[in-house]
Parts: sequence; C-alpha cells; structure tokens
Amino acid sequence: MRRRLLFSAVVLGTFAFGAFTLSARQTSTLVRGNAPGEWRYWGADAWSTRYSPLDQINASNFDQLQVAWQWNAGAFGEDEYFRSTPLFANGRLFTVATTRREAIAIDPGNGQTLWMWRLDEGIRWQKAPRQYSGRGLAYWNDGRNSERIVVITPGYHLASLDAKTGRPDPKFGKDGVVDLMEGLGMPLVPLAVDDTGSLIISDNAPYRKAKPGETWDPVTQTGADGTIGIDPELGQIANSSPAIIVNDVIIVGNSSIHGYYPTRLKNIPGFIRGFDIHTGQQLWKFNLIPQAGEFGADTWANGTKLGTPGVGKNDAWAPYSADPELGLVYIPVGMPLMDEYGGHRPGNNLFGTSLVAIDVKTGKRKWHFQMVHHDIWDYDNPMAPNLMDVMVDGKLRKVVAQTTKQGWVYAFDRATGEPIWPMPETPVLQTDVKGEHTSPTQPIPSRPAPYSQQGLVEADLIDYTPAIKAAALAAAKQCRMGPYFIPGSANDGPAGTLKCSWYSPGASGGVNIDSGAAVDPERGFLYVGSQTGMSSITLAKDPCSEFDYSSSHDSCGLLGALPPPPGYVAPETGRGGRGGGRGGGGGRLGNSRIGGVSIVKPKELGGVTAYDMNTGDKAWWTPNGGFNEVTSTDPLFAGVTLPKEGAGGQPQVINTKSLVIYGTGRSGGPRGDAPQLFATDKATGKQVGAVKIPGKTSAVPMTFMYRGKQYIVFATGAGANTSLVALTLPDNKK
Amino acid sequence: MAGVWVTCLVARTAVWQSPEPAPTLASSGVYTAEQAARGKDAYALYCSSCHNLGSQSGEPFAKKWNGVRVSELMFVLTDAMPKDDPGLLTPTERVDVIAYLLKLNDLAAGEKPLPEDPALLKNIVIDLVK
Repeated sequence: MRRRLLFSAVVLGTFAFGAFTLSARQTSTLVRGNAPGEWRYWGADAWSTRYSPLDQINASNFDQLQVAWQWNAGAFGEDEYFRSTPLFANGRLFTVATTRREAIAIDPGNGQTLWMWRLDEGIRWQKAPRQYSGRGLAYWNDGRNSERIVVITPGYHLASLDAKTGRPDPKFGKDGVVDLMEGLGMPLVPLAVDDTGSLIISDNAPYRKAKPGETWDPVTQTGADGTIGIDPELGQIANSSPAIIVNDVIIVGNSSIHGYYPTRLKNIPGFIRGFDIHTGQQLWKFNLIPQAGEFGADTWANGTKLGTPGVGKNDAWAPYSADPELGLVYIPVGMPLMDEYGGHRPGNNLFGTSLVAIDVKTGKRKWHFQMVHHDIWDYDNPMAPNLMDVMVDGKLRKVVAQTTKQGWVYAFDRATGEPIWPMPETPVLQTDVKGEHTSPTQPIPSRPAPYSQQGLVEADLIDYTPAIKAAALAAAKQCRMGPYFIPGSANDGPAGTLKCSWYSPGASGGVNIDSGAAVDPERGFLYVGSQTGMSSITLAKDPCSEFDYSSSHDSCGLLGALPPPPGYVAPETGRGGRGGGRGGGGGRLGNSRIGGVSIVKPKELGGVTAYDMNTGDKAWWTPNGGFNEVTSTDPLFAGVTLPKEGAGGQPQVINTKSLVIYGTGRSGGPRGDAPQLFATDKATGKQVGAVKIPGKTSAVPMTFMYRGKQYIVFATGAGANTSLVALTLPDNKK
Repeated sequence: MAGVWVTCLVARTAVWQSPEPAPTLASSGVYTAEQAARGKDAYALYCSSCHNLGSQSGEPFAKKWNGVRVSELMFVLTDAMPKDDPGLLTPTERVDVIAYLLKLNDLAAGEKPLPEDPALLKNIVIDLVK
C-alpha cells in the first residue's frame, strides 16, 4: 500500500523569548495540570474547569476592555464556523484554523503568526466527515525544555509538533505523524473518488476503494490519489475535538458522520486509544461498542461484530477531562448509529450516551454510567465533563459532573462512579413505533434541578386567558406529550395515534457543542451555559435508506443512497410538503408557536445557570445576554401583555477569580443586539459588565496573563471571515 | 456537482398557470454578488454544521427546490430554521443565504438585490439549468 502524506511546516518566525524556557514555576506549581495564568488544556486545565485565578480584569474595569489585536484566521483558508478555543502555554498562543485544521502559534502580545503547520491529506480530507477546524489542540511539556503541540487532523492523523517551531517531532510516529486509521483492526485500502465534492449528509458520496492500477486524473480531480484509509465499505471515521494528554499518554477518540439521515445500517464504532507522547506508539484501545466477551456486549441483542446491521458510532466526539492523580480520563460518549430510531439495535447499547472512566495507563474501564439507555433522542454527551472537589453532607467528595443535551447535570464520585445524589431508574413512556424497543426506565437525577425545559406537560403551557390556554393545549396535543424522554412517533402509526412527538430538549440541547459548563474550584459552583427549547419529531421511512425509520427525509437521488423503490414518487416541495421531521415547516404538526408566541411559558431555563455543587441547589440564573420582547399580531393575544423570554443560543462560559465571563454564542443573545461579551458576579449572577465585540463568540473563550497583562481571547465568525479576538485593558486601567 | 443537473419544469407547471403575473426566473439574475458573498458567511455560521454544501447543491438541491418559488425557501428559513431556534436569522440574512444557495447552484448574480418581502419572492421561481 502506498501512502501519500505530504506535510508542510511553514516556520514564519521562531522567537527566542527568554520566557520560552520552561521555568521551575511552570512545572512545579501546576494546578490541575495547568500553570496559573495559563490555559494549557481546552477547558483550561485537565479538570475542564474553564477557571483562571486571574483578576486583573474584574467588575470595576470589565467595561473598559479593548481589542488588543484581531488575528485573521480567514487568511489561511475558509472554515465552517470557527470553533477554536486556543491554548496559552509558556508565552505562546496556539490555535487550529480552517477546514484543513492547521495548527498555528501566535504571539500573544500582538497577534502575529509565529508558525503554522498543516497536512496534505488528499481525498481523506476531501471526504472527511468533520471538515472544519475543530475545537483545538493539546499541549505537553517534559518539565525541562521539550514542548509539544498535538493535533488530530480532519483526515484522522495524529501529529506531534515542536511547540517552539511547529516542526513535526521526528521521534513521533513516522516523521511526526501517526495514521489513526491504523491500529483499529480494520483493513486499510487505497482510496479513490468519483466526484470532487465533499461527503453529503450523512454518509452519501463517500470515497471508495481504488481499482487495481487506478491513478489520479488531475483534470477531473477524480481517481486514486495515493491515499489509503479504512475500507470505505465499513464506513467513515473522523475527529473534531482535541486529544487530552494525561501522564504522558495522548488520549484520542473519534467522531463519526452525523447521525441524522444516514442511509447505511452500519458504520465504524467509536474507540478510545492511548498513545505514547514520546513515540506515538499505540498503547491500548478501548471499544466504545464492546465486542464479544467484553463488558457490555450483552447490551446489544443482535451482537456487535463489525458490519452487523445497526452497529456503529457510540463515538466520543466531545473534548475529554482527566484527573492525573487518579490516572483516569473521563470520556463523554455519544449515541449509537441513527439518531432517532433504534429498531435495528435492540438493547441498551453500551457505552452509548454514557460517561466512561478509563485508566490512562492500562486502557481498562474503571467505571461507567449510562445516562440514556437505548438513546433515540440524539442525546450524545456533548461536552467535556467538569471535575471539582466539594463538601457534600460534610464530606469531601471528588466529583465529576456531566452536563448534557437532555438538560440534567449528572454528578458522580469520580473515583468510583457512585452518583453523588440518587438517580433512580424511573419508568418512562414507551414507543409505539414498529420495530422499536425503548428502555422501560431511564435514570433521572434527583438533583441538581434541570437547566432546560423537560418534555411538555399541560402545566408548561401558556394560560394568560382561557382562549390562549385552550389554543396552546390544542397545539400541544397535536404531538405526544410527557415529562421527559418522549419517544418519537411515526407517520404510519395506527389510526388514532399521534404522528409526532415533542422533543424537549431537542437534539441541540440543553448543553451542546458550543456551550457547556465552568467550575469555580474555590466555591464549588458549576456554571452551566445552555439553551432551552423544544421541537418535534415525526419518524418516517426514507425510501432510499436502509433504515426502517428516520426523521422525515428523502435521500433518493443522492450519490451513494439506495435506488428509489418501485413506484417511488418524489415528495412535494415547499410549505406543507415538508411537515414533521426535525422541526418541519409552518402550519405543520409540531409547531410550538402560535402567532410567533411559544406555547411554553417562559421560565428561568437556558441561559447561564449556577449550581452550588456542595448542595446541588440552584444558586442563580441569568438569560443569555438579556431578554427578547415577545409580541404577536395574532388576535388571540390582543390586549395581553406577553412576558419577555430569555434570549436563545448557547452561552459560552468561563470563570475567573471574581467573574463569570461569557459570550452569547454564534447565534445567541437578544435579537438585534450588537455582539457583546458579558461578565456577571460569580456569587449572585448579577451582570457587572458588558463590552461590545467585533463579532459574536463562536467558541468558548479563554484567558491568560502575558507580560503583565490579562487577555481574553475568543474565536468569531465563519466562512472566510474568521478570526481570534484578543481583549485587554488599556494600560492605565490595569 | 453543481451544474450537471438537467432540470425539467414540466412537473411544476401548476406554478406557471397561476393567475398571478408571469414569474421571474431565478436564472435571470435575481440577486447580487454582494448578497451571495454575505450569504456564504451566514450559511457557514448558521447552517453548515447540519447542512453541508453537498446537500444543498446539485441534485440534492434540485430535487427539493427546482421549479419552486423562492418564497417557499424563504418560508423554511423563516419558520423552520435553524431547527433549534426557528426565526433566528434576520430577513436580510435569510435572503443572503438564499442568494448564496442560488449561486451555489449555478444561477448567476444580477444587478438587483433579492428582496426581503415574501410577497415579492413569491413571484420568483427557481429554474435550475444545465
């Protein structure tokens, strides 16, 4: 097999700053793996606290923040929306950028590029399921003079770079790069493409196995370009979050294709692997879909052998957290193949939608907890769990808390997996969809209280007048209601059954990709950025998919989809023809608004919720940057003063010595307001500062101290207009 | 893949037989290059995490939208998208995204901007051409 891995390390400048020699302070006083004033992990430290003890920027001066510099990521290429949270270590800022996921070092004082590195991955990049910059990088040093930046590329390679120069570590893998498609026990074959486009949601138009002797046609940009990869018959594999490095072991997972609208009944499972930071050698592999003989395999009634219909995914696509002292890494695992229908995978489907603690030395499972059995709600664990030490009932507890799409915080003893507060298995609604087998129970945390709307029951509905109450109830009753975990309904159910179900929180959470939580390690508070809302779902047969059901979709005609069945008629297009599905259209089943007004009463949900994790009590709540006025021209609401509702979107939260700082997220904040960064008092949630920024935060911010100045840096923008923005105080305001 | 889809409007003749004024064809240049440029970024920001470009160009796009009034596309962007916060995009952002989708599907830009008024968009029909 021939391998074509071209890389280019462009050293734009290597600066001999004295600060770049690792000081004793930086290695001997690490707190949770981070040097005070730095931001060495995606979540600030190994515990993912997103906490910095810095306080130069505080309530008295937050409003004085100014743009120190803006680094133009778009100059390096286009991206999706810019998801990077940079790292700051030993005087340098590190980020990813562009659809190629370039690794880049930046001078923190002026925003100038120091070096950049990228890998030419050929058609492995072209057909990568996660073709964007990803969320960031991992940093490591040996406590002396060696520093590394570790990046996982869109085409699923692992690279270790010298943090000073960007040059690949020649002792790591092959010329600094490990092919992550190797070592999974799956055959690698030469790859080829028949088109110049990217992968189409979800698994259509992938690359294929090259024919013997096939070569690259530079005119049509098709054929075999020399790249190799996992046999595409088995599916696609990708990555979107950084590795985490714990005790010299690089912990690497993977993501998969989107789970909505897949057409193939099988795909590659999720894996967690450990690699030696010095050599790139694979140390161990943990199967997130357990294989025969492994713990949990019996939760898959049809077996888990690769290629078995219904088997795939369980990918841990979010960032990870770790306790270096316990030697454990905490893996938030996503759901099994196909977001809304599990009829092809009967069983609880471990380790889908679970938190798994793995020993970083051995790769063995220490404990796990499955938050959602047999997930059919797309409730992937979406964010790094947060570690903290708190006093519960007078005892010091080492806690790991997982925030979730479903609106709950699940808190455990991080050494044993024992729930901090009871999570009783509770009977839940059961499916009436053909072939589906829902779990009879789900674990429901007794505390803390949820931070997002849970299901839909009559008490949730607006009732400002009897007519409004009646209209809201009529709208609500169009779809299946319930307190939580409402199974989807199908469009072909028996007469008299509902054809849609409320989906709340919906697939976007709750907490999702962009938000998550921060920890105040001094007070034991957890600050959760989330959204609240509701959608609906109607399951239907996609005529050109192998699945019996999915959310409404027609894949016919897509490259790689099944051929249309006999008698196939294309669905009508436009309004009324696209009802149901994940959101559907106006006038459709599952419309949760009347005249633009939500049928759900506004509540103190979504936004930023603070919990005292010593007690599990909710401490305060604030909306995401403010409220939206609610108005309607519908006569139903004539003469009624409608209450404001908290602004939508996913707040992106960090915290410092005295402040909770957050951006509204790429689509959040009060409608029509200019983009802002907010600061609230940590104890009360009261807003103590707000500053206008060039664009809405598109990823979680970070903060650090450099040459006596505290900076806050965040990503913003999308497409060709992506940048990192650095804020700091004017010199006379420090 | 954009540009290889052969279209046929026969199946959509009902649109043409409406008593309303003869429709404007999207292929006649119904948006500006500036709108499409802005729409590209708006698409990347709001849409691309769920809808990659392959699903919104060529055959997949033609299958859904060929022969359909632009107002219908505007309606989906207004009332159903993004799915976690329908109505999030401003009217300007919506028409910018539409302009970008038209450009992505080989319908060339023109001199006049695509209007934000759904009533005006109702008179524009997406006519994808080879």
